Amino acid sequence: MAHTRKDVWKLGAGWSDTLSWYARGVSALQQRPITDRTSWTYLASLHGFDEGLWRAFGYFGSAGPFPAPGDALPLQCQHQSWYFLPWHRGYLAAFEAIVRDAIVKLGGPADWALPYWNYSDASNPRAGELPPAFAAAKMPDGSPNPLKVAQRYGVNGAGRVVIDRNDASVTSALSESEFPGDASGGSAGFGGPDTPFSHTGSDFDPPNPSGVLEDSPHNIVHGLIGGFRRGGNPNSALDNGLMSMPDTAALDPIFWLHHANIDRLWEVWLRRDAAHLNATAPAWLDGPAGRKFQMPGVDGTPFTFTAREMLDMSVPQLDYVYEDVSDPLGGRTRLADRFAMLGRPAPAPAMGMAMGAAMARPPQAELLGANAQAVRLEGTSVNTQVALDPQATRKLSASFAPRGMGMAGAAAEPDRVFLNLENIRGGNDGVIFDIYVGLPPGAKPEDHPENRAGAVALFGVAKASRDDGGHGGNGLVKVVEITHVIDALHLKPPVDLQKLNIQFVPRHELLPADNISIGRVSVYRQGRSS
Amino acid sequence: MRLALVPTLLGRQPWPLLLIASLLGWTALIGLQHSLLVPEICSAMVASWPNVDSRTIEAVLLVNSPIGLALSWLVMLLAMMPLSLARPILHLWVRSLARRRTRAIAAFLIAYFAVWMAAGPVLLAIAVVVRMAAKGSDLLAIALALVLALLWRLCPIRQICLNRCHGLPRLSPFGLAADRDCLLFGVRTGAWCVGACWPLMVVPLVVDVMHLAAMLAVTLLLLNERLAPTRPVRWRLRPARP
Repeated sequence: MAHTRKDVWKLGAGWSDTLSWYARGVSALQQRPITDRTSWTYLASLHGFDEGLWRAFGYFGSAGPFPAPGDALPLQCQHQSWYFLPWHRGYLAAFEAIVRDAIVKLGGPADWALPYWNYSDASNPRAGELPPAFAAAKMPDGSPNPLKVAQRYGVNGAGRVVIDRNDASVTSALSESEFPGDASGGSAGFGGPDTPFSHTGSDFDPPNPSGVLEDSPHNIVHGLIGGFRRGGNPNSALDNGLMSMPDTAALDPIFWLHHANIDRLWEVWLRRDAAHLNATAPAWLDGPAGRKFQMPGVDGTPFTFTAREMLDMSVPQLDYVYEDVSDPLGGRTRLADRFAMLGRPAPAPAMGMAMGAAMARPPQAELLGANAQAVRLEGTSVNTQVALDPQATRKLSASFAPRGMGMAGAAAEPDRVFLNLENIRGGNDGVIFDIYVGLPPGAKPEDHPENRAGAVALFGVAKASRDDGGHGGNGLVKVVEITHVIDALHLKPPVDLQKLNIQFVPRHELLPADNISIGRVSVYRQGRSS
Repeated sequence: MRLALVPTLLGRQPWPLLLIASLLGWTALIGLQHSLLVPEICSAMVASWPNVDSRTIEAVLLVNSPIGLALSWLVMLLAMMPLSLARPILHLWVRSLARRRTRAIAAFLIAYFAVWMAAGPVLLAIAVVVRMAAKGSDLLAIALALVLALLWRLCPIRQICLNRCHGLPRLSPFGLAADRDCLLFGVRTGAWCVGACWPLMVVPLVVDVMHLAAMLAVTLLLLNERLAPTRPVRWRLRPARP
């Protein structure tokens, strides 16, 4: 009988049985030493580990080397990669089994399952608030609450954790029709770009962009929970929240509920549209080449797994279902929404599917232009101009011309357009900023939500900026779709595509000491026209 | 072993093209192996030991023309280096305007190989010194070159070079700024590459008989290291984590 992962808010606002047992299970794991593969700290180290940070936060006191020589389990988390979802699914399942085992040994329910935090639930006005049990100082019996951590600074830097509706939006992620993406400047795919084993970016070719789901809501929610301590030193990672940094994120008990929700959204994406399919390449199904994913079992014995083994949730290794995998978008598709906005007849679903099938691999994107120099993010708003190449943008404009019947008998979709933020460097993982495209001079960003391209969270930027941090010092790269802004421009001729104004609006004033820079801001088109 | 990634990587560009370029380099090497001058110049120098002076060098260079030497060195580089350049070339391809892609890659390659060509005489001189120190013994020469390579491998400076080899800088999209950025990218990548690889490149230079085999082994070793992620800079006395 499969275990049911339930919505934490539907369990009640306070200490539900599920959360009480979770807290006791977490406490039991926290009492085990890091050398025990079923301990809280060892399990968190599989996501990431930084000796200095862990020592300072009080999670590492051992004098011996960690990871122990020959131990290949720690430091495995897969980000900016198409392994992001299957690796985290295996990670969650191993963690859940170990916590359940501890709960059962404490006399708890054998059917205990990890709850998920659905911060995007439109039917619940409080969905974006941190479930109160995670902020309570004490458990109902008066003992210290292991679900509460001090380094959870939230949106105001002082512990207020609320996920705003915009930030919790799953529309972009669930609308992306392809699972694999690439790093060609276009869509990074629902599941992420095709990479080798990819701890902290890619071992071989950093930086790669995150897949759409990984970027938003996953990265944003990490940043909104962890945040950065108000008045803290921007050059000190010690003032970041645990959830803001990949090396410490899994030490926060809310991490597991956030990731259960991300894992659930994978299932929602698959079920909501018959054209949504997982990657089929053997490199994904049986990969990664060179280094296998490994997790500890309930007795601590390691086992390996592949993405292929993560696809059927009913197998004994996973054995869970989600309480709710209904489609929050009610069947809306990106293609239908776009054609409606452009005032064109929507392609019939069958045609949409035919296009999806014909586009088994999205075409390579092409650079349209970039800004003149690197940008430093300081203050409350920063502008940069992206100069576009006339020859390349002609192809983009041509793709908007009505062409009658296109591929596979379907009306051809005009090119999609993506903003790339390349070589984002900095020391502060808690930074989040909104991006506005094509705002008129002097306009206030908040008055033009139609020009908002999205938000970017710099989860992992500090390590990615270090020469020795796995990303080769190249920082992060972010890909944000701006098709809707370009579509709006094409609806109001004459279209001037020589220069595009990009405005970055940080959620908090950034100081020079934050040292956040974007190496290049560029614009790409992705489509069939050549 | 990072080389296990290569079959997967060969499924995506520019890996297959670079493999072809490398194989062409190897074909040229095999075809030219009897007229390859680089290892021979070492032997010629050593034959004159211990009376090497400027006249000996002049005499050796008279027989082994500098142009011939440079061509031999270039063919060696063409055989050994292409696969290590996959990531920079992909970066140039993705981050350049479509009509400038070939030009961007050409500028990078010219700058990259220019750096290696400039390093050639220095490495040759080091190889000659190693041969002289080995007093004519091939085995001792190889052993000395390997010890040099091993010491460098443990050294933190080498890790700095290896880490910097992963750098993928901003590329301006238009005009002279775009050309300048591609050339600078080539110079930087070349310089860090020389810094990381120079002692290993000396090994095939001191080997007379198994010259090609030594080059192949060094090529695979360099590629394996290029595929490894960047790592903290410190003395490396223990093997890397898997």
